[in-house]
Amino acid sequence: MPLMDPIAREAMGLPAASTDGVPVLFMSSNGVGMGHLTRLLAIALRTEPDVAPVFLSLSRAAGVVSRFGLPWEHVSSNAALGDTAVWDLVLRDAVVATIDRWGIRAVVFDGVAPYRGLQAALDRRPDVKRAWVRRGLWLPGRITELGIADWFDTVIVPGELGPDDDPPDAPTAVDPVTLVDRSQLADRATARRELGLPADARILLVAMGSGAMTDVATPFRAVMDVVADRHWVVARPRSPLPGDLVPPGLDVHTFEAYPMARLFRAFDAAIAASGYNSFHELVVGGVPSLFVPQPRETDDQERRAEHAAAAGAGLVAPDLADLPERVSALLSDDVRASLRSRLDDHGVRNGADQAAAVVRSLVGA
Amino acid sequence: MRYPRLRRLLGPLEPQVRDGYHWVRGRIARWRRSALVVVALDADHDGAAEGLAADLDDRIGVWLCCRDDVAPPGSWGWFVVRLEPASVQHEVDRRAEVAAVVDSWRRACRNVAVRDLRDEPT
Repeated sequence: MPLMDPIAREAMGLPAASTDGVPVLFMSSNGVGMGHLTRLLAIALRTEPDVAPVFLSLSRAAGVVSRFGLPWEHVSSNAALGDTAVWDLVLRDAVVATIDRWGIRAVVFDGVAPYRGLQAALDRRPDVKRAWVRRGLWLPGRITELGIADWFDTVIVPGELGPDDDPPDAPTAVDPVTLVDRSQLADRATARRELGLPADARILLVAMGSGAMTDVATPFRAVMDVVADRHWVVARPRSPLPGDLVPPGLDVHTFEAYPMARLFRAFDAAIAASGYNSFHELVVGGVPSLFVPQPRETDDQERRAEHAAAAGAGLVAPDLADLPERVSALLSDDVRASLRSRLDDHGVRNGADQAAAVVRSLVGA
Repeated sequence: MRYPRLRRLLGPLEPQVRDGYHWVRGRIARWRRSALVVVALDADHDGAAEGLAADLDDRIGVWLCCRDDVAPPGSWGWFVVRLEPASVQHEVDRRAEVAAVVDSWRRACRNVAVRDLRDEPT
């Protein structure tokens, strides 16, 4: 079957997509986000060529999979129906059909809670192996699905920069998972050229999410107030997700790039949410960063940002009131030099390679 | 990790049988809901998507397509199912995939209407 235009695959220096390997289904939750999807892409790309990845995503941004030349299917999340019972039935049939259509031998699920429809599908196809990629750093008291770990052949926990809680069900822990390796980063001049950014300016990346889940306009304006008279160029990514917003009336260079992490060397500093992927990609990219934790249902972004601060590898602004002072600190040459030095010293091993090895062994590839 | 081994020993199981509460919930949901399944190809059908969405009332609207940008029909109120293009396009003889999605909705809802836009001019 002809595959799609693999623009990101070529940019990352990856060979053509594998179609001869063992078919494995990578299934991500999401809906209005794409963190689970991005993490699965990181793992799937590293299972090739022994594995032929197929994606089934609930994310509205699932189309980014096309950029890697991989086949993908999409089913809207349960939020689109508001009727979990119907959704479970539809999801069950979709997963069963996808398994049969592609001859799937294992399902790798990345999401907070394995859905009843997924469980029902695999009850119908019990020979299919199953793995759960379960991000760590849950907010206290929010892990309610641990019992379901028993339902998987293996549970893979992507690592953190700092210590995580000890999970009671002894899953497979790997190093932090990132889509882009340090060796795949474009150099500064190339990255700026691709993004249409000036070659010789000081450039600040502001990436606090699409605004689909939280208010990002208010902190964005607070940042711009500080930056206004400092002679920095401010750049922000346009999210592939709907609901993306640019606060009106601001002098901001907006760009589109996925995966954005490959181009992080374009930036002298970053202000970002401390979600799993953006946090670890910025660490790998060696970008001096100020992390602004966003409230989430299960992800403890504040604790993750504090890990960076404790390691001297980042700044953190837990509250809006802290932003002006912390942004000023980030714009200081001395502070950025110190952060960059710690980040350069930080040994980076991509846990996606380890997770991919687990998936390969699951299917005997 | 015990469950997968046990399940493989027992073989395939009709899921509703092992969970009566959810079987009842599923039956009630099916009895309550109606759906319109539209089979579309790509962005050429966006005009129809907006118009048909306005007539859904309390029916579930299902947009079955093969487009890469699945966000727009979702933002108009459609439940989006996206298959690989070869599964949806007429020129490839793999229409079974489309039929399987329609059958799935017929199992999940009481009353399902189907509209195939692939044969209609855009």
